[in-house]
Amino acid sequence: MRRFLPSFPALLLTTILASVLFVPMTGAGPRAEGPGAATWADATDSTGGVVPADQALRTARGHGTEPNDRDGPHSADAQHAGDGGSTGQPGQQGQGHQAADTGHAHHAGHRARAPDASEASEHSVYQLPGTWTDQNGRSLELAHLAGRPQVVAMVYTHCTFACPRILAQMKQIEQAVTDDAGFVLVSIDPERDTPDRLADFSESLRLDDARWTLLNGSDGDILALSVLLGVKYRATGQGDFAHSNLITVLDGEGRIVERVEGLGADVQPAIRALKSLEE
Amino acid sequence: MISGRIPILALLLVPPLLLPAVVAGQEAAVLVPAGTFTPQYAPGGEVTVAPFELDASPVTVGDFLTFLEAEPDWRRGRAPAVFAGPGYLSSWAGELDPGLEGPELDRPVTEVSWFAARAYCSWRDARLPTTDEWELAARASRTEVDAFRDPDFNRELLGLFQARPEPHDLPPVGRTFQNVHGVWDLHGLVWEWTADFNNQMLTGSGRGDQGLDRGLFCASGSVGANDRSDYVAFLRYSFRSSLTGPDAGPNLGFRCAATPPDTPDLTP
Repeated sequence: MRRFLPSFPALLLTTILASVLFVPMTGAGPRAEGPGAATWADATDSTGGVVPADQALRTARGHGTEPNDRDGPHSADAQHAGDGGSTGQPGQQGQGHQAADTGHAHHAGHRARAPDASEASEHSVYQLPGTWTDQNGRSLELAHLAGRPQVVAMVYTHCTFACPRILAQMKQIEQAVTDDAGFVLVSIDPERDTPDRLADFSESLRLDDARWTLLNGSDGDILALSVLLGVKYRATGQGDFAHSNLITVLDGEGRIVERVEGLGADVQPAIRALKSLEE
Repeated sequence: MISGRIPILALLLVPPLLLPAVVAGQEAAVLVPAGTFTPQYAPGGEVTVAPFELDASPVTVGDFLTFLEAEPDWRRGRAPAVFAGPGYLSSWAGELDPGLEGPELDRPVTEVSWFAARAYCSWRDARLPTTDEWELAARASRTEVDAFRDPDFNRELLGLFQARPEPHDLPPVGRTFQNVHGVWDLHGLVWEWTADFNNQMLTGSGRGDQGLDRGLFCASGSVGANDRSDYVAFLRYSFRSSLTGPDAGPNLGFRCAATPPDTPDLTP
C-alpha cells in the first residue's frame, strides 16, 4: 500500500473518504453493532426446519412484543406457583427465563415463571426454563417437580456400564427413604431416549411411576441443566457418552442440598440429606 | 435510499487492494469456514466444525447495557443467584450504570455469567459459540487459517497472553489482534465463555473448584513451562473446566456466534 501513496494522492483521499463514509453508512463496526442485527436475524430465520417453533420464539424475544409469547405462559405461571410454592408475581414476567435459554426447541412455555425474589427460588434449579416430556408423554417444566425432594441424575438408557450402577445407587436411596422423595432421570441422549423409549426403560426396571420421572428435553435445556447441576457429558461416538456420575438431591424448592459423585460412591450422604428434609 | 447508495459508490472508488481490510474492519460478524482439527486436552479426537458466523469482536459494555435496558430481569440484583453469582456486573455503579462512558463503553463486557452471556446471544437471535468453533477460529493467525503449529504464531500468542491488560482497565475491543478471518481479540484481551465450556475436560472428578482469579493467577505463574507450542490452548481448556455457570469474573467475557443459513444446526 505504501508504494501507492506518493503516486496516487487522489487515491488516498478516496480511500479516506470511503472509510469515513463507510462506517456510518453500514451502521457498523463491531462495536457499534446493535443487538438484533440483520445478519443474525437473517441467519437464524433461514436456518431451516430444525427448530422452527423455537426460532419463532427467539425472534419474538428479540423484539419482545409478540403477544402470544407473553400470554400463553401466564396460565403455566399460575400452575407452577401452586405446585412449586413460588411466590412470583405474574406481572413480573420471566424474561430472564426465556432469555436464559439459547433456544434450541421445546420451550414454548418459557415466560412461565417470573424470577422470584425469594431466597428459595434464587438458588432453585427450577428457575430453568424449558419444557420437557416425561415417560408418559406429558409436557412439563422443571418447576412441576417442586413440592417434594427430588433425587436427580443425568443418564442415557443405551448406557451399559455406568448408568445401571447409578440406577442401582438411586434405588438404594429409594429403599432407604419414605415415599415423599421423587426420583428423576434426565436423558442426555434425547434423540434416542424418546418418551416411548423412556417408558420402556422405566417398565423394564420396574420404576414406580408415582415416584420416578424420566425426562426428554431439548439439547439446549439439557445443557443448561447440566451446567446448573455440574454434570459434564460429551458424546464420544458410537452412540456413547462420557458423563459425570453424579446424583443430586434437591429440596422441595429445587435447591441443591447434596451431591454424590462417583461410581459406587457411598449414598449415605444423600439418604441423610433426604431424611433431614423429612424432618 | 441515499444512505444506501453512498457506500456502494464509495466501495467502487476504494482501490481493490485496500478493500478487504476496509470491509473486514467494518463487519460485526464474520463467516469462519469449516475446518477439521484435533482439540487439545479434550477427549474424542478429531472434530470437524461446520461453517459458522462469529462476532468479529467480543460483546462490549455498551452492547450489554443495551441488552439490560431491554431485559430488566438480567440486571444485577434481579437475575437469580442460580444464574448469576456474586461477581455478576459487580463493578458496575448501578443497575444500568457500568461506571464507564464514551469510548470506555467499547470495552469488552466482563463479570457476566454463562447464563447471562447465553441470554444476551439469544436475545440477539444468536448463540454462544461451541468450544470447538471458538478453538477453530483461534487457530488462525494473521495470514494462515490453521497456524497452530507455527512457532512464530505460538510465540506471538504467548506474548499476547503475557501482555493481557489489567481486568479493571481493559482497552476497547478491536485493538489486540485480528486473524485472517477478520476476528479480533481471540487472544490477548479476556477469556470468553463457550456454549459447552463445562463438557470439555472430562476427568471423572466433576467440576474443578478453582476460582476465576486463582485460575488465571496459576496460569500466569506457569508461563515458563516447557511445551509452549500449545500452551495457551491448554490454559484455555483448563480455565474453562474450572468454571461454573453462575461464575462472573473481571477477566471473563464472551462473543456470540450463529449458524449460517442452510446449515443444519447441530450445536448444543
